[in-house]
Amino acid sequence: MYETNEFRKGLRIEIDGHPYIMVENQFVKPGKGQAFNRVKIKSLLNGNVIERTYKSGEKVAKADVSDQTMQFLYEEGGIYHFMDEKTFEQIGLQKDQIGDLAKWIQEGMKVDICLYQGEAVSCAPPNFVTLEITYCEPAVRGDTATNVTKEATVSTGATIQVPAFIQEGDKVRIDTRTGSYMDRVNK
Amino acid sequence: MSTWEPTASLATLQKRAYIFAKIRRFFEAHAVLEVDTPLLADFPNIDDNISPISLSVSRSSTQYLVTSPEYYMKRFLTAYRCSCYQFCSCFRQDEKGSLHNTEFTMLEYYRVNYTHWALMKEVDLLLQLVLSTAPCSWLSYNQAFQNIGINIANLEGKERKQALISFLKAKEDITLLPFDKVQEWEEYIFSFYVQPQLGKTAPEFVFYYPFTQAALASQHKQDTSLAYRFEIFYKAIELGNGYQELQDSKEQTRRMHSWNQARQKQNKPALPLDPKLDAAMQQGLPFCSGIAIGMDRLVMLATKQETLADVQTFYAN
Repeated sequence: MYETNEFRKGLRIEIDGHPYIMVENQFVKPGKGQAFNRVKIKSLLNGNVIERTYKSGEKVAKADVSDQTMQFLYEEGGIYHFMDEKTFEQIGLQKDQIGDLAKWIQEGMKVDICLYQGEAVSCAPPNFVTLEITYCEPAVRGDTATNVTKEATVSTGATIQVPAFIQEGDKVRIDTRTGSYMDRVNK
Repeated sequence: MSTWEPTASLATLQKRAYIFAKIRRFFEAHAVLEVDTPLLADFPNIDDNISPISLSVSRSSTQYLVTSPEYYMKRFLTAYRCSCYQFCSCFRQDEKGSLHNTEFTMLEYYRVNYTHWALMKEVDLLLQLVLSTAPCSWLSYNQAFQNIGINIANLEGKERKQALISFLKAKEDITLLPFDKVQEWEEYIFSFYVQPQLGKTAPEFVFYYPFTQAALASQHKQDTSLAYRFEIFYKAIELGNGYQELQDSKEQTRRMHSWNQARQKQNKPALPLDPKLDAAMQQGLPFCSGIAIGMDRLVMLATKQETLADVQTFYAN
């Protein structure tokens, strides 16, 4: 069981047999009053986000989840195939279970798959990925006043904002949590 | 992943230092003496909702970090009858969040011979100085509930709970809420419905808290359901808590025993009462009013920041 003083983003709990991940934890306590935790939790099964309020000291069940690092093999017919490098065990996840990861996933990428009661339910991309720019407008030399950033497409098909000096073929590092450009990776 | 750098920017810390200096000049001009009293106490502050941190200083002695310097300052007031203030760290177990930290800075001050009204008026001046706001506004605890549509004045027990629950039922699914006693419903409604309406344009005082939530405030002389306890809010944030101080030592002891009982019902340990505080109270705390203000939150509001981490040099993660 987790107690309210252990609550934090990313904690995986179970309510009425349903697994959730904590996406927000608000600690509320008037100076002389009792403490509450107001949390936003996302279902690991259907992605719905709900709010719950707990009295300080209350306990919640840990979700029966485990994480496994797997390598992305390929996508076919809307199913994303992953393999455990050690056991060669393969699993498939649907597009809606992949969520945001679809924007950044590349062949060979290692991701953490979340398993609930042995079944894969969701996966998290690594915090940073390096991808190649496949399309962007060329930089206009000297035009520094108006175009500080521009839109660019990366090899996975996702679009991000990059600084004006970035060119097609450049490899850039992206923070997957915010979808933002971090820096250019030297070849 | 934590880094070694301070959590507040240099610019904010410079503004913080300036605010402390401003407050010191204010008290100097008002002839209030700055004192500092122990943070490591032989006896803990007793409260049903605040847990002190205990330390084993030596193999045979346990001491407690203060959750507020109140007990020492009251002993000082009893001996010297001199208005005083203190800036100090206070420590509270299990309080962590965007507006909370286990260790935080308190401004606590007491005015001998001031009623709670007189103290509030002085706090008003202090806040106008620090926050550069318009003068404070005032409303009673019951009025604050009335403003959101709940009439709890003179209601107790079942009737009070009924009024609170009727209000809440229309706003959210109350079956999801883990509350049982009337106090719990009331505090929840205050935190999420009343408080967001407080101090929107200028700091706002809420006075005449119910006697059931008196803490160490004295009881209202005419209406025994109320206490001379007040709080100050700005932009929906709780900034301070103050009282026209309880002077009756027997009543104080009675309240402390009741808080210990409440603690035990919540599976928290009962705490030992401070005999030296009791001796001072029996000697006679002078007529006075006092307030405790959260300095980090005050600096946060003055510098227009969002969380305590933005204004504490090293906010512990």
